[in-house]
Amino acid sequence: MSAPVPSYLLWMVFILPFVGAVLNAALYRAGKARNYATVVFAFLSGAAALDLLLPVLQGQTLSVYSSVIPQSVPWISGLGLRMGVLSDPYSIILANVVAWVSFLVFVYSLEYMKEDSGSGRYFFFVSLFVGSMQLIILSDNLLSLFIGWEMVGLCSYSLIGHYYKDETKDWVGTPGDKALGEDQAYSPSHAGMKAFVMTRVGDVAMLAGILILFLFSGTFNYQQLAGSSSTWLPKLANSGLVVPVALLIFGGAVGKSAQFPLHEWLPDAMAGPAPVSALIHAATMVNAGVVLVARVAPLFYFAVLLNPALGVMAVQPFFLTVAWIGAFTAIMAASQALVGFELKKILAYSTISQIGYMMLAMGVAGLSSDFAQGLAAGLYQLTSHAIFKATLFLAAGALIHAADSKYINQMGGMRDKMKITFAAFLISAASLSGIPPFSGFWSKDAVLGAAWGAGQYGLFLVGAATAAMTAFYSFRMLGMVFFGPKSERLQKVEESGHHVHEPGPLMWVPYVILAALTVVIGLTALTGLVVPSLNIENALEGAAATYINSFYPTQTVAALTSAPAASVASTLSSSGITGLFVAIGFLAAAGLYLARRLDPSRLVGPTGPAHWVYKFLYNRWYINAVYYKVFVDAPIAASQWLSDVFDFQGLFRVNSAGSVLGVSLSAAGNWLDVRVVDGAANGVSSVGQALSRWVRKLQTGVVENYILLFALGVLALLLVLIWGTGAAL
Amino acid sequence: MTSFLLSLLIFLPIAASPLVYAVTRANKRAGIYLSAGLGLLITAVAAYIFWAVYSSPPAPGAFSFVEQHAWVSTSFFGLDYLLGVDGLSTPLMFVSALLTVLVVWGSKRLIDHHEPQYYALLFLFEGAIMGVFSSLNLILFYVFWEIVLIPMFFFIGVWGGERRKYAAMKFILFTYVGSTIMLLGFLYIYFGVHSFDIPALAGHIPAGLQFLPLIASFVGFGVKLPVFPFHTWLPDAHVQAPAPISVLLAGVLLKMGGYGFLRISLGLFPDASFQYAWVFLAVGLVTMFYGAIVALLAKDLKRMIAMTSINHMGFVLFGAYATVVSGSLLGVQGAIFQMFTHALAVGCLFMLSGYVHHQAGTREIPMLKGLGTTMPRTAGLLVLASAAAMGLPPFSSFLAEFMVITAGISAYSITAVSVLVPVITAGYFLWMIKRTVLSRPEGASAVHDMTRADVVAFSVYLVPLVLLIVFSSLILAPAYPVAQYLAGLVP
Repeated sequence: MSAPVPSYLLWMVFILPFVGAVLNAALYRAGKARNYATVVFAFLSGAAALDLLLPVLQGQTLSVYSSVIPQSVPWISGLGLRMGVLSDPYSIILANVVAWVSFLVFVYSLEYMKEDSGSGRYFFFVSLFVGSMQLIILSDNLLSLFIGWEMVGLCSYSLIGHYYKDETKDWVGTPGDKALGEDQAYSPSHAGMKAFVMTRVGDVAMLAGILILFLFSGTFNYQQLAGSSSTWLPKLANSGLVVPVALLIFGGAVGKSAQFPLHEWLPDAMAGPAPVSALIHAATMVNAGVVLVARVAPLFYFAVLLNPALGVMAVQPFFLTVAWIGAFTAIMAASQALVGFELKKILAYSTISQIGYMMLAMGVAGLSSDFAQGLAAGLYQLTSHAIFKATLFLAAGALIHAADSKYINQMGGMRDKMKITFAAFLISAASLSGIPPFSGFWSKDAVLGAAWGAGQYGLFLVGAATAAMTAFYSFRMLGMVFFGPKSERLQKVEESGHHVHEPGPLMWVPYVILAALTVVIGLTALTGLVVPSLNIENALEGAAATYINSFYPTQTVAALTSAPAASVASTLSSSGITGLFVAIGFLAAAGLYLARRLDPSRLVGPTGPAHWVYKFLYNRWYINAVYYKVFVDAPIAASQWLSDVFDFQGLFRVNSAGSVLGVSLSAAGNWLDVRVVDGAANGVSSVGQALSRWVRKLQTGVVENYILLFALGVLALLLVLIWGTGAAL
Repeated sequence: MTSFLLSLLIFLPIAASPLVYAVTRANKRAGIYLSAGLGLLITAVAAYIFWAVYSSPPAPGAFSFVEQHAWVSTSFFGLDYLLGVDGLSTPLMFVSALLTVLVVWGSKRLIDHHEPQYYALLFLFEGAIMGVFSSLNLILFYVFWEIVLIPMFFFIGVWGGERRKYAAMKFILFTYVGSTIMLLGFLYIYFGVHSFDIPALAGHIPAGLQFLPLIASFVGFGVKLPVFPFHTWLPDAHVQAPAPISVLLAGVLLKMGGYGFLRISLGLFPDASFQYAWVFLAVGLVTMFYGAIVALLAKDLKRMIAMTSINHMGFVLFGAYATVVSGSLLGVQGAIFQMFTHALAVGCLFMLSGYVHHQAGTREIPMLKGLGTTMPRTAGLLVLASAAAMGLPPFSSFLAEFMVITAGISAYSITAVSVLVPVITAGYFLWMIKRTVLSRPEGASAVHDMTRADVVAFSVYLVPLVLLIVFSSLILAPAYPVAQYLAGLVP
C-alpha cells in the first residue's frame, strides 16, 4: 500500500519554522503578539509533519508526487548538487518527534518568557532552531545537513547565552566552586561560547570527513553515495581511509550530541532558560548527532557488505568505537548525575548518559547482522527520551521558579502544593529509570536487547550498570525535591511571602501532555506483546528497514542481512538482568531519599570514608578542569609570553616594506657617513646625511613626495606611449 | 550590435562627479540625495548587466557587452578601447555599485567636513572601478587601476583619523610600487607578443615569456589583495580611513587584486602559473592563517576586521591556484563567490564599526562594553555580520569557503589544514562579541542606537548573503564557464 502525498508538505516541515522566525523579527512592533504568530507557524509545521505521519502509522509507504516544489530541486550548479527532502518513514517519525515536542515547548515558553524583555529574540532563535533541526533530518545530502547543523549551533549559542547580561543569578554552577584551581561556575555568555567552540571542534572533523568522502565519491547525496559505493569504497579502502573518514564524520556527532570527549559543554549549557534546555539540550539538538550516525552508518555498513572483498573488518572498528563511546559516555555521565545538586544539571548529565544509549544502539547495529534492529532501537530510545526528558526539564523550570532556587537540597516536600507537576515528574522519572510499563523501559530494553542479541555482552553490562545508576539518580532527585521536610531555605522563602504554587496552565498543560504520551507509548508497547499490530519495536524496525531500502534495493538488503528472530529465552534474560540492576538502583534511592532511612552524608560527607569518590564525581571526573588547564590557560599563557617576547608593533614596523627601505637607505647613509668622516675631512656633510634626510622626509609622509612618485609613474607611462608612437612616426 | 552600457557605467559616474560637487556645495542634503539617486541608477544598470550575463553567460573565454574602438592607433603601436564582461566581472561590478549606494547612506552621518569633494570623489572612484572590472586592454586596465588610487588617497588623507597622512602615504607607496612593477610586466609582454588586448593574448603568450610578467603581476595584485607579506599597508589604511571608506577599501579595492589574479595571472600566464602553483598556494595558505591569527590579538575593532579581510582574501588566491593544480572548477568558482560574499559581510562590519565609534567614541575592544544593552540594534547586527564573516550558515560565505577548501584538498590533501581557518575566525569573532556585546555596560553613557531606517540599510548587506545560499547559481552559473576556461588553459 502506498499513500500519495504532495511534495510541498515535506518542504513545509522545515520552511514554516523559518517563516515563523522571520515573521517574529519583522513584526517587532506587534509586541508579544508576534510570539503567538511564531507558535502558530510551529503548529503548522507540526501539522504538515503529522499529515505525513498518519499514513506511516497505518503501515503505508509514501509515494510523493510533485506539487508546488518538486521533491528535489537544482541547487549548486558548480557541484552538480541538488537539494531534496527525504520521505522515508524513519525520517518522518524523527520529524514528528521534533515538531511536536518543539510545539509544546513553544506553548510553555509563551508563559515562561512572558516577563522577559528579550522574548522576541528568544522566539526568533528557537523557531530558526527548529527549522534548522528539521533541515538536518529531512536533507537528502550531507551539505545541506551541514548547513542545518551549523545553524543549530548558532541558535544554541544565542539561546544558551540568552541572559547575556551575566547577572549572578543566571550563572550555572555555584560561584566559588573550584576543581584543580579552575572555576567551575560559568556565566551564560561564557557557557554559550563554550558550547559553540567545543561543538565546532567536532564540526571541523565532520567537515573534513565529508570533504574527503566527496573527493572520493564526487557527491554529497545519500542516494548517490549508496548507489556508487562499489566505486568509491575500494578507492577509500586502498588509501586506508574507510574507518578514519567514518570517524571524522562521527566527530561532528560526538560534539553535537555531547559524547565523550566533547561532552563538557552540555552541563554548562543549562545557563539558558528552562525551555531552551528542554528543547535543545534534551529533545532535539543533541539528537542531531544520532541522526547523523543514522545517515552515515548504513552507508558504510552496506557499502562494505556489498564489497565482500574488503572483509567485514574494513569498517568494524568504526562501529566498535561508536558503541563504546556511547557506552562509556552513558556510564560516566550517569555517575556524575549521582551527586549533582543543581536540578537542571542533573538532568543534563542524564541527557548525556541517555544519548550514550542511542549511540550504543547505533554502534551495535553495525556489529550485528540485523542492522535495522539497532537503528530502530536508537530511534525508539530517541523518541521516548525526547518526550520524558522534555517533561522533566519543563517541570524543572516550574519547580525552580516555585522554590526560587536551582538546588534540589533547597527544595523538599513540594509534592503537596504542586500535585500536577509531581505527577508528571514522577511518570517521567520512572520512565527515565526504565520502570515498566513506561516508554523508557521499552526503549532501554530495545537498546540493551540489541546489544545482547549482537553478542556484545561487555556493552550490555555497561548499559545495565548505567540503568542502575539512572534509577538511583532519578529517584534521588525526585525524593529530594518532592519528599521529606521542606528545606530551611524553602521555609525562609515562604515566610518572605513567596509561595510554592503550580504554574499557569500554559505551562503545565504542555508537560502534562508529554507525560501522558509517555504513558500512552508504554501501554501501547505493553499491548503490543499480545497484539502484533501494536508492537512498536517491530513497527520501528519496519520503518528502519524501509529507510534502508530507499537507498538499497530490497533484495540486496534481504540477501545480505539474515535476521534470526531473537529467542524468547535471550530476550527474557536480557530484560531480566536489566530489571535487576534497575531494582537495585531504585531500592537504594528509595531507602535514602524517599523513606529516608539512611543518611548518605555519613558515607560521602566531608568526613565520610568515600568522600573522595563524591569529590571525583562532583567535579566531573576532573575532565572539565583539565580541559580548561590545557586548552584555555595554556594558550593564553603562551600568547602572553609571545607578546612579551616579541613586540608585535615592532614586528609590524620591520615588516613594513617602506620602513625596510628607509632603514636600509639610512644604514647605507650611515655607512657612507662613517667612511667619509673616517677617511677624510671632518665635518663635511656627507652624501649619506643628505640621503638620510631624504629618506626621513619620505617616511614622515610628506604628501608632495607621494605626488612626485605618482607623477613619475604617469611620466613613465607617457614616455612609453610617446616612445612607441614616436618610433613609428 | 555594439553596446554602450559598459561605457555608460564607467563614464556616467565620472561625468556626474562635478555635478555632485556643485550640488552638494550648494545644499548638502540635496547633494546626498542626488548621490544616492545616481548610485541607485548605476546599480540598476550594473544589475541589468549582471542579470543578462547570468541568463546567457558568454562561452568560455568569450565576453558579453563587448565594446571595441581604436584608441591610439599608429602603424607600429596600437591601443584599443576594449571593454567586455563575463561571469567574473559582473558580480564584482554589481557589488561595487551596491556598496557605493550604501556608502552614500552611511556617510550621511559619519562624514562632516568637505562633503562636496567627498561625494564627487566617490563617483570618480566608482567610475574607475567599473573601468578596472570591464577593461580588456592591459593599458586601459592600468589607467583605470591608477585612477582608483587618487580618490582613495584623498579619502584616507583628508577624511581619515589621527594618523591619516601616514596611512595615506603608506597606502600609496605600497600600491603604487606594486602597480608600477605590474606595468613593467605588461610592457614586457607587449615587446614579446605585440598586443595589449587580453582576448588576443590569452593562450598566445609563449610559456618562456610568462615567468617574469607572472611575478610582476603577482606583486601588483598581491599588494592589492593583499597577500602576506605585502599586507602591512592594509591595517593602517583601514584603521585611519573613515568607516564608509573602509567599506570601499575592503569591499571593492581588494577585489581588484583578486580580479587581477583570475583575469591576468591565471588567464594570461597559465603555464608559468601551473609550474609555480604550489608557491602561490602556500602563499595563499599562509595569508589565510596569518590574517586569522593576527586578528586574534587585535585590540582595535577595525584592525580586527581588516585582518579578517586578509584572511578572507587569502581564500581567493588559494582557490584560484587550487584550480590550476587540480583542475577542479570549485576553486575559481569559490574564489569569485568569496569575493562577492566578503564584500557584503566585511562591508557591513566596517560600517558597523563606524557607528560604534561614532556613538561610543572608541573602537578599542576592551573599552567597548555592554553594547547589547546600550545599542541593541547595532549589537544585533554586529552579531549577525560576524556570523556572516565567520562563514556560518545560513550566510553563503560558508559555501564559498567550503568550495575553496574542497578545491584545495583536491590539489594537495595536506591543505586540509585550511579547515582550521574558519575555526580560528570563529574564535576571535566570538571573543570580540563576548567582550563587546555580551558584557555589562560600564557607567552611564548617553549613546544612541541606530534608527530603524539604518537597520533596513544594513539588512541590504546581509539579506543577499542569506538568499545566495539558496540561489547560489546566480553567482556560480556564470562563474562556471570562467572556471572552465581558466582550468582548460592549464597544460
